[in-house]
Amino acid sequence: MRLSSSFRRITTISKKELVEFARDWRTIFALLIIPLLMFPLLFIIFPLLLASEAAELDAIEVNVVIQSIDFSIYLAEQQKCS
Amino acid sequence: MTVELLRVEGVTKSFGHIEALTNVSLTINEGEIVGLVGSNGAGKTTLLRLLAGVYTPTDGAVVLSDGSKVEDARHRLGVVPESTGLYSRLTAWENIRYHSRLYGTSDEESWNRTVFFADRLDMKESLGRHTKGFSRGMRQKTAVLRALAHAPDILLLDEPTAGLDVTSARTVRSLVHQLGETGGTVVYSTHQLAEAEAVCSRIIIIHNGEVRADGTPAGLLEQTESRNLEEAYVSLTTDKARTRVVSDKPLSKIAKWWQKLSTPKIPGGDEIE
Repeated sequence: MRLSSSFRRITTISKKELVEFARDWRTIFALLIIPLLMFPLLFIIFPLLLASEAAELDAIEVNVVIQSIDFSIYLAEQQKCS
Repeated sequence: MTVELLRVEGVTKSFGHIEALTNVSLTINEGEIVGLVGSNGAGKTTLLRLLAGVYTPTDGAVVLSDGSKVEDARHRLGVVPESTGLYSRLTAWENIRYHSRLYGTSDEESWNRTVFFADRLDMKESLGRHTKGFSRGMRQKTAVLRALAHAPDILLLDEPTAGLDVTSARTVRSLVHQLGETGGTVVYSTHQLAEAEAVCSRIIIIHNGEVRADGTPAGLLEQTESRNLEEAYVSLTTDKARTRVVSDKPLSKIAKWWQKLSTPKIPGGDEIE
């Protein structure tokens, strides 16, 4: 008897909460629509931007000059390693 | 023959070291419209909350006619608090039905009672409207309907006409009158003597947490040898009314500093020590 009464109360409160939630369009908007807008932004637009940035960096040619008093030591070490 | 519905036996209610009510004893009989009259902070709302089973007495007990404590038989009471507490996204009827279901009343029964009383409160057309756009008067009327829908033995009203326009206040008073005429029992808290005199068959004057007088309006006039209730009230409450003290616990250094910081300085005013 007591258990059924508690169950009835839980059901009543749950129904009321669901109805209230369904009528709260601002929260529903924040929960559903905002992620729908944010996910394409995070997973499509950001990687595209990063890729174009990387391509730009790849296109740059960099000339490197190495200066040393005795360059032969360095070359000998390089040869040993290879 | 008077049938006792509810009995308050030597109830004292304290909040920390503040005693809101001191040794209050009274009975509520069937068919009575009892007015609780007192100044702000006198203890009216505390007493009503004790009657409603919201508060547990520090000492004493509030028992119903069958000997059960009010905390265990809240379904026998209908309460209209000062703040209506309606769910704004639900319609008036959904609010009423929700409470009735919690008390185990069938939808059909609560609907029939709601329509009956809504007709008298001129609320029938608004039952299907969301309470969000309701005026203070309509919210108060919805709260009254909600309190009546599960057929309580006693209706407890905490300042039901406070903030209402003249017409709405009159409608609420008229409903209370009708309830009294049909054998309903109402406890009506107010700080307006004229209202208590117009509505209630019995008046209880509360002052500084104590019951100073309890009787019919005519009985109170006789008891105090006064010409009107206002005079009677003044003669019964000659000592200064206490003010609501939030807390007089000593403040910590941080609390003192914060209070000093957030309190604007008034020229010539006392500084916080």
